Amino acid sequence: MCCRRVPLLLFLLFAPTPDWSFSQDPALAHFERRVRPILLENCVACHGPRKQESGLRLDSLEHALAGGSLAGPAVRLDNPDDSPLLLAVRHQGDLKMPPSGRLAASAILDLQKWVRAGAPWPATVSPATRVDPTTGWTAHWAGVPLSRPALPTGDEKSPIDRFIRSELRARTLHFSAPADARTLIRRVHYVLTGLPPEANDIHRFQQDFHSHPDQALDRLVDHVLASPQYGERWARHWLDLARYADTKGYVRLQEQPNYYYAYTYRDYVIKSWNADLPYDQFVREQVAGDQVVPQHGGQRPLAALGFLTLGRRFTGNQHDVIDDRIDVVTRTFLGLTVSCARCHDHKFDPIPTADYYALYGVFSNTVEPSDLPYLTPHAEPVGFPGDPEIFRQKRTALDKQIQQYLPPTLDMLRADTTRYLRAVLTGRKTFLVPLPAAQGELRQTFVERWVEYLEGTKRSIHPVFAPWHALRSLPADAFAREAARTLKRLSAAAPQPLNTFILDRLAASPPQSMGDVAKSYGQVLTNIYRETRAAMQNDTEFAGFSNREKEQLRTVLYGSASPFSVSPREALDAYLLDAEWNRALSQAYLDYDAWLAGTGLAVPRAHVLYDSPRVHEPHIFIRGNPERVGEPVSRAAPRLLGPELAAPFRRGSGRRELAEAIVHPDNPLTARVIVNRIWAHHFGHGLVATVSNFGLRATPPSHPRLLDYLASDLIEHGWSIKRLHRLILSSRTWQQTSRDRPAARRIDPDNRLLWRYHRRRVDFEILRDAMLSAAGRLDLQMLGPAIPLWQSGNARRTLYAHIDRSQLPTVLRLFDFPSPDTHNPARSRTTAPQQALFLMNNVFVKERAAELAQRAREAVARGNVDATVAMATTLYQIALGRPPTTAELERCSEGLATGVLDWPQIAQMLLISNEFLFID
Amino acid sequence: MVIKPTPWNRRQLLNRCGMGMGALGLAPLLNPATAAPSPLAPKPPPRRATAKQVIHIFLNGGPSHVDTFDPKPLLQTYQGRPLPVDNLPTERATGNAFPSPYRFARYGESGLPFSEIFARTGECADDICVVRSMYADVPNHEPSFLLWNCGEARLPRPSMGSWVTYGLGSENQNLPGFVALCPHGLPTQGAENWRSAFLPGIYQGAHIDTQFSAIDKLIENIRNGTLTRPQQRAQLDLLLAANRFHLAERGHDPNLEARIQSFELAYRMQTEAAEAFDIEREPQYIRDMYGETVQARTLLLARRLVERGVRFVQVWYSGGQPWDNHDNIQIHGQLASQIDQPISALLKDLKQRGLLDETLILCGGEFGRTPTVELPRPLLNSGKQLGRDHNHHGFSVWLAGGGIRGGHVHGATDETGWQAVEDRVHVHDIHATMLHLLGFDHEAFTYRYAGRDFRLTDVHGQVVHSICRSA
Repeated sequence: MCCRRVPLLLFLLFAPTPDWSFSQDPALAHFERRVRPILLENCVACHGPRKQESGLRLDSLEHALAGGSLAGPAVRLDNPDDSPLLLAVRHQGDLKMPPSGRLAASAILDLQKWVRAGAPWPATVSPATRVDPTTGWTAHWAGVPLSRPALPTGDEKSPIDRFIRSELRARTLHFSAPADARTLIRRVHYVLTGLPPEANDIHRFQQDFHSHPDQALDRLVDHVLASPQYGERWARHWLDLARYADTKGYVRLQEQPNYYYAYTYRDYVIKSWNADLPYDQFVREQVAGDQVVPQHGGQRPLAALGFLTLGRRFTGNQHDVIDDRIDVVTRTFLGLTVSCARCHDHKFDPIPTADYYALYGVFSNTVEPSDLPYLTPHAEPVGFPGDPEIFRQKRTALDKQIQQYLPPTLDMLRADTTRYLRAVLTGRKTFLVPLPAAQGELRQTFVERWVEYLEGTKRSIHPVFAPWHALRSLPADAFAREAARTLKRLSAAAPQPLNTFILDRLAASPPQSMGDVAKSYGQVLTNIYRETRAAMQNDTEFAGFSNREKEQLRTVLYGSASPFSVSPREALDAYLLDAEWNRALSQAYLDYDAWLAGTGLAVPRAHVLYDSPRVHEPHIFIRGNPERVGEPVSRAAPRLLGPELAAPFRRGSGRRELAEAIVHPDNPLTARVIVNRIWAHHFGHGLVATVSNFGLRATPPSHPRLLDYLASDLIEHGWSIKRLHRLILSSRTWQQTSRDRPAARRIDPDNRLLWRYHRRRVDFEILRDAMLSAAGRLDLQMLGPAIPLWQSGNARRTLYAHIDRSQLPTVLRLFDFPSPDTHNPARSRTTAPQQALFLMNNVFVKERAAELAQRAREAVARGNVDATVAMATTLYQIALGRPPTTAELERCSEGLATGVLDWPQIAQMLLISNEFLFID
Repeated sequence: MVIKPTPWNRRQLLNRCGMGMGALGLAPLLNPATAAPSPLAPKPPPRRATAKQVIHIFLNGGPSHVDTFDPKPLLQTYQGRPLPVDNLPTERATGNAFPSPYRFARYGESGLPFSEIFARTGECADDICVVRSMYADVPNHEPSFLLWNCGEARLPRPSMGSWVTYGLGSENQNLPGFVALCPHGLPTQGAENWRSAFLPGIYQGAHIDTQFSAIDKLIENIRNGTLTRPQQRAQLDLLLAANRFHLAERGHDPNLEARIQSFELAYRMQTEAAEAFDIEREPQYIRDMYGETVQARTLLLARRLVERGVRFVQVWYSGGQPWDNHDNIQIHGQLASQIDQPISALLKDLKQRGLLDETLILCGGEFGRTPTVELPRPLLNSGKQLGRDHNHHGFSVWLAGGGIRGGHVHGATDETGWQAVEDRVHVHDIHATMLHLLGFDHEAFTYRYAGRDFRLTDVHGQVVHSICRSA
C-alpha cells in the first residue's frame, strides 16, 4: 500500500503541500471511492458476514468469485460483461438487484468499470467484516509488544544519545556542538515553563555552567521542573489534546453556552503535571475519575472528567457528543483514529465498526447530572464573598419555580397517555427539532421518550408491556384474527404473571388494531394516574400501592426509569412545558447560572459524568445512521489490543475497565504515544511524526528502538513524566546547538536524525507571557476561573484566558492556536504578515514595550553611567539576556540622535525580534 | 563546529536596505528561493480552471424560491385551499397554498423569469444560471448553514473558503486570502461558517463587519496609531538588522527568513489594505451604480477585493438570519430592495472590467421556503399567517461568471414548488462544481488529518457539468 504525502503539521512552518494527487493505484482508488461504498450500502447487508442470501457474499473478492447458489460466481473475470452481479444490477434477466430498487446509472457504470478492470480489491481489507487484528497489527511497529531494547554500544552516558548517535553514524553524520549557556537556559525555561529566564538567572547560570557544566544544568532542570509554572506550560499542551474550551460551541437561544466550571478541569491538569502524577493514574482519572481512588487519599478526582465532558455539544446531538468522546479518548491515549470506524470499518487499521460501537456503548451508558457536584466537601459557598444565606435563597427561589412548572406539566402528560401511545404507533411525521409547544399540543420529544421507554421494556417479559409488544408484532391484516390467540399464548408462556388490569381490559374489548390496544393501555394507565393523584392528596407520604399489579402500573408513570423521570433541564431542552412556562423557567435558570458565575464561582464544581443506573448494550448503527440499527455488540476496548484487554466490560458503563485496558502494561500503545508526545514538545517533532495516529498508515518512527526504550523506561519508573524530562534534558542530543551545517543538511534536510537542535517559533502563549515577563508585569497568580484575554489589566498567563469555542479571539487563530472543536495533535506553525501586523501595531505589544523601556530606565537611574549605553545594555539584558553588540549600540544611538527612534520603539523591536521569539 | 558570523556593519546594512525604503533593499538581502514559502503564496490548480476566484453572496435565513427565482402559478389556483399533494415535513406545521405576493417577469434574450423584487438582478439574466432543483438535508438553520459553508452539517470541518484558499493560495499577499464580509455582527452559527477547522489558522476567513467604514474598525492592527511612517520604517530597519544578524549567526533557516519577510509584507499591507477597503476612492458613478445601502457598500468592497486578487470573498446579507420570514413574506421585498441593485451593479461592474469571466458568483440561501403558509405557533410567529416555513426539499440558487452557462435554468421543482424533482442538485454538488470550475477534482482534493483524507464534499458530490459553459 502506498503512503501518500502527509502534511506535516508538526514541522516548523506550514509548507503548503497540495495534496490532490492520488499516487495510489487508480484502479484501487476507484474501488475505494466508488465501488466499496456501493457494495456496502446496497449489497453487504444481505450478502455479507451476517446474512448470506442464496449463499452469496460480496464482502471480499474471494467470496464474490465463489458466488452463490442462484447464479454461480457473481463476478466473472473471463467474461466481465456477463458477470451475474452486473446482469442483476442492470435488471437484465430474472435476477434484479438490489431488491429495494435499481441503482443509479452512475453506480451501475462504476461497478461495470470495476469488473471490467479485473475486479481489483485491496488485499488486506474487506468491507464490513471483522479484520483479524492479529494479522498485521502485532507486526506493526506500534502494535508489537513492548520490550526494552538493548542499548547501542558507545561511551555516551545518556541512553538517548546512544540511540541517536548510532542512527547519525549510519548516515555519516555526527552531533553538533553543545549550545552555549545562555541558549541552554533560555531553551530550558521556554520548553519547561513557557517563560523566559530573568537576566539575573541567566547571569548566575552562566557562571555556574562555566565551572560545572553538567551539575549546573542538572540543578537548573531540577529547579525549573519544581516551579509551578512548569505545570501551567505542560497543561496547555495537554489542553490542546483535550480540545479544552470554556463554552459549548454554538447553542440555541434558550440554552446557556458556558461551561462555568471548565476551569476546574484545567486546574486539575496543572496540578497533576506539577505533582508529577503518574501518567497511568492521570489517564485513569480522566476516563473514570468518579470511580478511582485517588493516589493519596482524599476526594475522588471528579474534575478530571472534564476531559470527557468539555467537548462541543453539537446542539444536543448525543451521537455526535459520544463520537467526540470516542475520538478524544482514542486519539489522545492510544494514537488510534477509532472515529473513522463510525460508518464503516476503518479503511486501514484493524478497527471494525463493531469496535466503534463497543466504545459507543461505554459512553452512551453515562449520564451528566444537571446539578454539578461540588469539589469542596461543603455544599455551601465557603469563602463566598457575600452572605451564604443569599445563596440558599437563590437556590430556593429557583426550586420554587421548578416546582411551579414541572410537576403540573408531567401530570398533564400522564393524563394524556392514550394520545402519546397512539403517537408512538404512527411514528414520526416531522423532523425532530424541539420547538416551543402550544398548550395541549403533542410534544414529539415526549413521544420519543415513550418510544425509548418501550424499547427498554422489550428486553425481558415485561408484566405490563409484554402484551403490547406481542400484539405489535402481528401483521395488520391478521391482527383481529390473531390477537386473542397471541395473548393466550403469551400468558401461558410467561414465566411470571402478566398484569391482569391490562389483560382484563384487552379481554373486555378485544382490539381490532393497535390503535385499540393503545386506547386500552391509555385507559388503564390514566385510571392508575387518577388513583395515584387521589392517594397522594390523601396521604402526602404516599410511596406506592401495596397491590403489586397496581404498583407495576404506577411505576410506568412514576418510576425512576419511566418516561416521566425527567430533570428540569431535560424538560426545558425538550420543550415539554407549555411555551410560556418553558420561557419563564429557562430564564430562571439562565439568571441563576449567571448569578452563580458572577459570584466568582466561589465554590468550584466538576463537569462530571456518571454511569447510567441501567446499562443498555449498544448496537451497531449501519453506516453510522442511528435509525438503521444493526447487530448488538458488547462494550469493550478495541480488539487490536488483544483478546485479554478487549474482553467485554462488566462493571457499569465500563469506563473504569476501559481506563485499565488503556494503561495496562500489555498495551504497548499508551506508553509509546505519550513518550512520543513529550519528545515532540522538546524537539519540535516526534519520533513518530503523526503524534496522534500510530496506525498502519502513520509514518514509521525515525528511531523505533529509542521509542520503545523510552516507553519501557517510563513504565518501569512508575510512569513519571518528570523523570522522562530529565532523561531527555540531560542528553547531548537535546543540548546541541541549533546552528545549520550545510553538509549535514544535504544528507538529512528535515533533521529527522537530530544532528542539531530544532529551532522553532514560540507559540502565542509564550509570545504573550514572555512579553509580559520582560515588561516586568506578568501576574503569576495561578488557577481559578478564566478571564477574557483582552480584559484591561489582564497580566495573567495566557493559559487562563477564556476560550469561547464559537468565537475564538482572532489573534489566537492568527498565531495557530488550534481550533478547540476537536482533539488537536499538534499546532501548525505558520508565518504570515497578519502576525507581523499584530506585533507592529497592537496596543498590547506597544504597552509592553513602553513598560520594558520604563523598567530599563528605572534600573539605569540607579546606576551612574553613560545614559544611552546603560539604557541599551539594560534593555538588551532584560529582553535577551545579553548586552548589545557594538553595531547594535551604534544603530540605536543613531536612531535616537536623529529622532526617528525612541526607547519604547527599540524595546518593541526587541520583543518582536526573532531572537526573542524563537526557541533556539 | 561554529559558523563564523558575517555581521553587517551599519553602513553596509543601510546601503543594502536604504534607510526608509527597507522593502526595496530586501530582494538582494534575502533569497526568496530559500525562505519558506508563504502559506498564502499562489499555487496553480491541478487542472484547467475557468474561475480564479469566488464571490459567494449568502442570503442567510432561507430566501423563498417561489417568491424570487421559481414562479409557481399553481399556487394562485389553490390560494387558501390545501394543495393537491400532502404538505411535506418541515420544521413547523404549514397549511394551505400561499401564492406569491410578487409578480414575475421574463428578462434578457434568454427570458429567465425573476420576481419583481429582483428586477434589477434580472437585467443580468443572460449571465445568470438559476439552479431550481436544489435540495439540502434538514429544514433547520444551524446544520444547513454549516452544510452550505463547510460541506458537513454537524461535525467541525473547514469552510469552502478555507479549502479554496488552502488549495490555491491567494494572488495578493498583502490582504487576507479569504474574507467574510458581514455587516451588523455575526450570522447564525457565528464564525464557524468560515472556520478553517483542522486546516492551518491562516486559511480561516477574516470576518469584516461592513457596517463600519473606518479602516481600523475593519481590519485589526492595520494602523499603528502612534508612530509616523518614517518612525515605523526606522523601527523596522532596526528589526531587520537585528534579525539579519541573528540569521547570519545561525546559517540557513527558511523560517527565520520567512519571518523577516513577513514584516516587510505587513508594512506594505498597511497601505494596501487601507486602500483596498476604502470605497471612497471609487468614482462617484461607480458608487451610484451600487447605491447607498450597506449591502451596496459590501458588494462594492467585494469587487475591490477580488480585483486585488483575494481568492474567496463571502458576502453575508447581514448578521443573524434576516431572510427567515416565518411571519410575513412581504419582508422579502424590503430585504431584496437593499441588495437587488447592488447585485446587478456587481455583475455589470465585473463584466465591464473583464473580471466576470474569471470570477464565480454564487448567490442563494441555505434552503428555500414552503409554498404553503406557516400556521400560527406561540412565541415563534405573530399568528398572522403571512409567512412561510423552511423548505429544504426544493429551492433555488443562482450562479454567474467563472465558466457558468448564462441565461440558463437547471432542474425544476414540482408544480407546487415543494420539492426538487428534475435534475436534482444537492449542496455537495454545488461544492463539487465550484471546485471543478476552480480547477480541482473534488474527489482528489484532500487533506490528511486524524488518519484519513478529508474532502470538502466528504464522500458525496457530483459535478453539474450542464451548468458549466465548457461542459
